Amino acid sequence: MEQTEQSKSRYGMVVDLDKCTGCGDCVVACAIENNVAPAEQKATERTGITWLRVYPVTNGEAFPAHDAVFVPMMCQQCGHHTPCVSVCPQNAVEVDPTTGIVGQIPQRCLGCRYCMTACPFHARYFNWWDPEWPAGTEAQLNPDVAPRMRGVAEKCNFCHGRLHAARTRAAAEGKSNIASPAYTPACAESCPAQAIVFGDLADESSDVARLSKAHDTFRFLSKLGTEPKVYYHSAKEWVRKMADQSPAV
Amino acid sequence: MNITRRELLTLAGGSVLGTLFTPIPWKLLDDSAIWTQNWSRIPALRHGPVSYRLSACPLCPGGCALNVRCVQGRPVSLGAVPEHPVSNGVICATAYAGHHLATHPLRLHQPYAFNGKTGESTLLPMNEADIASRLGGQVRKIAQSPSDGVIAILDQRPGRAISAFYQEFLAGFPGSHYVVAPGADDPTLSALSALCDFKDLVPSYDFENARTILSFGAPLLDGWGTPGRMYAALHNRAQKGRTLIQAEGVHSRTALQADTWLPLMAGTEAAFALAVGHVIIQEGRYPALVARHVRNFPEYAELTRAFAPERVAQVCGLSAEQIIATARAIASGPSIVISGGNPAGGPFDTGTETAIAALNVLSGNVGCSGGVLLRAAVPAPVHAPKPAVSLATIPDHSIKVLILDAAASGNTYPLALLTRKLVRQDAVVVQFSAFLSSQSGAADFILPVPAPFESLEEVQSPAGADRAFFALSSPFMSASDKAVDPVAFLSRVATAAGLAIPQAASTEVLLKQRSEAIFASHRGVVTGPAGTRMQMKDTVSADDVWKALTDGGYWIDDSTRQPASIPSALPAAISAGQQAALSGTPSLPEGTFRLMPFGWRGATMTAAVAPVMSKLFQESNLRALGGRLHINPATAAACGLADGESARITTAAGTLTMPVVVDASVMPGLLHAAVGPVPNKTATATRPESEGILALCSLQDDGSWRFTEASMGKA
Amino acid sequence: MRFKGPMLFLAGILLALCIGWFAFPMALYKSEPQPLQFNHAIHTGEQNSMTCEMCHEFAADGTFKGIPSIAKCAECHSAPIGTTQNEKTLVEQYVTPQKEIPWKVYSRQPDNAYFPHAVHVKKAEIKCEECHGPHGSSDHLPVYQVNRISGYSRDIWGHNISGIPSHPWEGMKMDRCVRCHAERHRDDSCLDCHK
Repeated sequence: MEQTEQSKSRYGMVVDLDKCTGCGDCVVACAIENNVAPAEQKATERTGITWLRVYPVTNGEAFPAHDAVFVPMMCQQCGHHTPCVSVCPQNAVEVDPTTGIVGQIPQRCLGCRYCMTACPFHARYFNWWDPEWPAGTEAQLNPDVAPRMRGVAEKCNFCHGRLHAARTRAAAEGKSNIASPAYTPACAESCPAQAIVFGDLADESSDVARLSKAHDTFRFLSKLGTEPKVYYHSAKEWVRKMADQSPAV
Repeated sequence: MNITRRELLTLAGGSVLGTLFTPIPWKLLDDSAIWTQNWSRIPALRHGPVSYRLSACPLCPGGCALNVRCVQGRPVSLGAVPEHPVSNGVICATAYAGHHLATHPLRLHQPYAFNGKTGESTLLPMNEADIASRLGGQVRKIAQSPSDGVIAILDQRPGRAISAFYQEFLAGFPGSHYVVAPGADDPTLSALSALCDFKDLVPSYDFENARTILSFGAPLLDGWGTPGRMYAALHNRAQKGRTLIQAEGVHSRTALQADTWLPLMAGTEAAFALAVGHVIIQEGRYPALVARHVRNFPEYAELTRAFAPERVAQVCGLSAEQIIATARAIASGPSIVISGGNPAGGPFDTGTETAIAALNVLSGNVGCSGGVLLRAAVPAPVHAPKPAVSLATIPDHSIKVLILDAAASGNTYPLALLTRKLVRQDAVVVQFSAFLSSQSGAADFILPVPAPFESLEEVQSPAGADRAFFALSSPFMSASDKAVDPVAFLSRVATAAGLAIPQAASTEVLLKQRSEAIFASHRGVVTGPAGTRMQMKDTVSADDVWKALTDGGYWIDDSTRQPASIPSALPAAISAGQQAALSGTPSLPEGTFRLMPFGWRGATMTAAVAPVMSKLFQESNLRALGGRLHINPATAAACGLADGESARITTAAGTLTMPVVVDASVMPGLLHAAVGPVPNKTATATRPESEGILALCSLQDDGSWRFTEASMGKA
Repeated sequence: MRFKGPMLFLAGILLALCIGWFAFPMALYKSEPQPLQFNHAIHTGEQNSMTCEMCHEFAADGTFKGIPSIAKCAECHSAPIGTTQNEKTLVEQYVTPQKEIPWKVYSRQPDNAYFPHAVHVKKAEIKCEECHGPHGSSDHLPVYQVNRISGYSRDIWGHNISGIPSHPWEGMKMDRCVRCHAERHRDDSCLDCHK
């Protein structure tokens, strides 16, 4: 069989915080797309599962100098010394060399939650309960994403189910490897403000590559050197400053 | 043969060793590992052919188009329709989870009698025919002696085909009321309709051409109108030369995005609006035609004379310069002044709404591009015989039978608004609803209608939309046999009562008649599901229109020719309350606060939201969870409260304990109380949720409940 | 008796081997009848000479439809062809009421496996037989044996309980995928095949 040349892409995102209104479309669209179960009755902000979570962040000033932005925070897809990969004792996490997507295999996961501790972005979540939907809703799950089981960690994988579908489609049409992402993750697709741009950072001509180099674009906790592939943009200085502050414990 | 214990152990030892060389341990390990990935506690996926179909969202009046992804005919996800002329490729979070509503834990699957009012709160299964005959008896008595109490129907979304049916039904009863639910109409446009004579046309906002938009707390970027339209109109405003000024006492999501946020003291909206009017008149920034043709102009000028920006600035928390700048911005070009209402806080009081609406008249923006335009209504087969009234105008204790419509309005209101209208004894409240909602608490009988997306529902342009629009939410799930069609049920009641009241077979028949009326109007364009556009005047038959609509197409009206002149007036007088607000005295006594309920459209307590909405409310703090009180750190400190602690709120209507969220986006002195859903997948439909903070709101004579004086202490 | 101890030990080993290699597979798997008999050979044979893809089609979005739906059968079998009982059942119980045949699928994979037929069949041009074996020429369906613990067909593990395939196409476990991928240098990422 002929060996097809594999492209080395780096899938990434640029999120414009100045555009985000905090509507929550992306959060719900993500949960529906990726078969994330509704909260267990006792679940809280700490124990719930939100692959994509929008954090309201304020400037800490008193009314009326108060200002706020909404920060959509998903797995930042670290490209260098990826913390969750380094700590996983099970090899359940890895960086895909062709896409740069940090993948998590729930079936391999042991549930030790080292990765959750290691993740500087709190982008990993643990299944404290069985994934449970109200009776009848199971029939409406997305067949392209497998539900996870109790006792494993999970996180955003840039809607890998959609990448699979795009690959299937491309192969059926007789195309070779899809070089640039021929799909849009659910969050980017659902954003009414078009604040999320997704694409291949390695493709210099792509919007996402151009925007990632734009003025006032930054990454969270870039001082850690993990090279996240999710970029943010804000014209507000306090937002950019906040990005490199370690979260208060 | 004699086998010793030692020999038995030797045999066993051999077996153990032997077993290691068989597949037993290894295969069992492998199979049980697979079993743990496959057990019944992880739902199995159902694969099948993927198909897409179009529909429209019935979950609020926004009228958004939906693209439904189905696997083997079952809906798997809902998405927006790109480049749709109404919703512009946008739907809201509530809609994304809309297909989960049919299996909501609070779903009602059969008719019930409910005796919650007696305090026992039990749902008693009933059958539809029994309820129809009992109601028939009541209705017959009402028809005979209306003096003992009348019949009323509360319509959540006026203007639909079923609305006309309600009106026709009620026309058969003397003294009956066709009531529009509070918040169903845009409050600014309602106030404008009282000032201007729009005849048969419907006022609407021309955001697309406005230069300045002054919003009094309208959640324009947080669910108001059709979200896709608002995003399109308000995005990249700088390029379009458009300015959004948001005046409210909370740094809301819209205020965060606005060009200018005016932290206006809650309750001083009217004074601020009149001060803006004052500046426009004093600086002569109104069009000459307004002074000449608008009634009450001199009286309004006289009225606003007292509202000098310097004086108003002292009470409303802004500077005189901010008021003057706002007035100049409005007067400088096409502008819209809007209050918008709040999904749970409702409109302001009538005086405030009138003062706000009047600015549109004063700046000459009524009937002008970029201001308030007029559009034709969606064609209807019958002319509705019974005019709508608001709840406030109905005398207290006069309704004997109240029927609550099932449509999702996206809004909520205090139940006391309804219950105080009921006769003191033997009143009957019938609720049509797919879910057990907080409204069910007032009901005697609850009839289960099909859930969203289980039946054909009418979707129209929301209040304030620029064009008449009509679509059908075509079902992609099947309704249960026990689901009740309100039209068929009311017809059965009429039969049981032996009254000659118009009867109709079903909602679908009414919708088909409406589709025929649209066809007969020869107006507008029908777009089919595949994007094919048919001019209505070229369309061959009414069946083509019906087919296009039921397949997920839509109808959009031609643009309406604006009348040459619109007879308009300005308010000549103002309520005593605003005068008091202006006098400069602190409007609230020491130690009291202003309680202001707020909600998120489509996710208030009257509506069920899908359990997965817990991602916004419970598993993150992106949205305010219902029953939380947001207060400024200064307010919290004054009452000795810390974040997460419980506060006891007392108003004239009662006392309630609720947890506090310390939030610097709320103005000091304001109690911003979230009225929202509690998404809970394990809930069971046994008793309705309480209406929470809404029970504490004091109801004004005009039916508004926006602000309530309250005291607060640590619980 | 001399060597009684070692003999007994050996007997224990032998007993365990017998149970493990012969009784255990019989206990582990349960035979379940298919709803109908199906003769691939008649369809693919000289008389009809159909190819695999004529029934096992791809959908428009590139996904593989697997076992054809009853509508596909109905294209030819709207009325019974021949007089066999099977044919009668097919038409009366499934084709006429448009009811899908509840086939038990020998190659059913877990939900977390993503196997795009299009990539393997169209792009890599792998023959159906390489994975599924020559059942296209079989004249009856093999007995469907379900693993009582995992719930999957015996064909996933392979008929040989040792896991060593007796035919190259036997077994559909992950190691089989991995081996083939490694040979073709396609062993990139877990998420390539897992969802």
